[in-house]
Amino acid sequence: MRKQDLNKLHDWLWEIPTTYRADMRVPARVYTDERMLDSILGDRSLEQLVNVATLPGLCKYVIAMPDVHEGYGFPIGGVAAVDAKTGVISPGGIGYDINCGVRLLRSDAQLVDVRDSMRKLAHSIARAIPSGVGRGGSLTLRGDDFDRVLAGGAARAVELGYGEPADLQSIESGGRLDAADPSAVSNDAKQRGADQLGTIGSGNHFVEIDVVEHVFEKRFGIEQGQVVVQIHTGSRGLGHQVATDYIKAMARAMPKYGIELPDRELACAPLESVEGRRYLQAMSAAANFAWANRQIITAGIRRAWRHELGAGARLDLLYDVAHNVAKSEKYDGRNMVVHRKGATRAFPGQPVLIPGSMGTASYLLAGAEASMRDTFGSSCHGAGRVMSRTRAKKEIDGHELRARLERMGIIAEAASTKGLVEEAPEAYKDVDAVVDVVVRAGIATKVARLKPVAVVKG
Amino acid sequence: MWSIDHHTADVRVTITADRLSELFADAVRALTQVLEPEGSASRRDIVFGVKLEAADSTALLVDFLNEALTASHIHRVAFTDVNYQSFEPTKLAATLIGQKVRGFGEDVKSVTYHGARVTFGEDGWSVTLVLDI
Repeated sequence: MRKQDLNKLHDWLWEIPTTYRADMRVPARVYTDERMLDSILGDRSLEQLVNVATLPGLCKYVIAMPDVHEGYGFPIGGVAAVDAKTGVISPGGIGYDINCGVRLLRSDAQLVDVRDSMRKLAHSIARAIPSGVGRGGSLTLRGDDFDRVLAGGAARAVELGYGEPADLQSIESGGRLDAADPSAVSNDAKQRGADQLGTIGSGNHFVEIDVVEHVFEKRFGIEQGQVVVQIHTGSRGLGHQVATDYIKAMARAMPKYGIELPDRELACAPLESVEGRRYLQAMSAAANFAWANRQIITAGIRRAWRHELGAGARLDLLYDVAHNVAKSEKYDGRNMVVHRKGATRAFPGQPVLIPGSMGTASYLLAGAEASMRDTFGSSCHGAGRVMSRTRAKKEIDGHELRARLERMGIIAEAASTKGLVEEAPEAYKDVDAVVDVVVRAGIATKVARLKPVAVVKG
Repeated sequence: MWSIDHHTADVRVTITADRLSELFADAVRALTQVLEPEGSASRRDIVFGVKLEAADSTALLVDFLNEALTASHIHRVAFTDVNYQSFEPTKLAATLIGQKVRGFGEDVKSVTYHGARVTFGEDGWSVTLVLDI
């Protein structure tokens, strides 16, 4: 795709018209500035967005956020809303890590007061929260006990003693999707997730201690110099298997519904079909598992926090957002199902959490009015990857990176140097530029910029 | 024979073979290499039976590899060999053979259908697969 294939609607919004390809049902919109657009055109993410625009039952247009990058089927950083009656559900539009998301905890401490304890804090958190490929946690549930987590989400974790009932008020959808049905989740998926509650996993997942570097707007109880904690993880192996199971099932079912698509990874089924309904039930169960996971991790971090800073030290849940999920929502008086793959819900006034890379910054935003009008209540989800993990391993020296982070005042607790190098700051886009686009577009407003102080990784 | 190429947020594996059944077996070995098995926990062979049918060879291969991946994750087994009881382009019955390991260095979430197409040309059978990591 070339730049001239896109129409510039504003300085921060471009559109690929349906004339670009005969099978497009709706236009494809890209939120970006001109400089990032050149980079976006360097991979196949916009061709993938055009493929998404061929799905049946789409509403208005499909959207790429400024952190978009090439995925498989859907691009990562994509939003697609379908009519709840006539539309389809595509597991690839949610991704393999169902309800991968971010949680932000707000401490009552200022960095100046706890800086000397930071190394111990990071170490205690690393000890309390298992991380790394396939690492299991201390909580292994089976049978009905496991199904209660799939049905109950974060609320079930609270019932089991992980966290406080008040936490549930600060989680997207209260930490539970009602459509969940554990019987729609395969035994393979349950086995893959059986020992993974309370674990971070690997890849770009992390726990990070940040300091509020700058406050743009005083809200959500955030103050300059305050210490906060971010958690980024999802539904682990359970979600991966749910996606695998249903992409396979839908790829087989598509001929029955007369659906033909340019990429089999976009496999979908009508929302009102058996396959569509079962996937929504399974996806909701996996989303609940992810919220329970982040709730249990929160309890572990709070224990470590109190151990190092005293029994009175607090970590309150500011908010928890999903950025890989499908949700039933209403726009323009119409019931829709919104696919968000690497995109964050951004309802007006809602905290929107945008993690950056471990050496740069993250943002706390607030959803704004234009999100409801223009982006199906959605915003970007992070900085967006630009360098492959292999290239990062080849080009970045792990010891140099650790030393560089230390010089920047960032403590790195990583299970492996490989895991650290793969997520080096230079592997990501400029988070400031990404956030500036969504702010200029009126999708969200800036509340605070967070600077990392300690990172715990797999 | 296979080669592994890492992309922005995934891994691409290109496999070539003289016979389609070999392509499938090499794809299992390539998947195991991407998983980076860590430490053999037992020398005893572990076997898993797989029976599958699909619309075409590409779907059969992706489904077959996902069966291997699921078993690898659940049972911590690195698969290194395949014995076929029967093999047709859209249907197979096979035994996956591997060894128990302590864990894996890479978390492969799934083998995707994205852009996958099993083809036959001058160099025999080939396919490029995208693995989500």
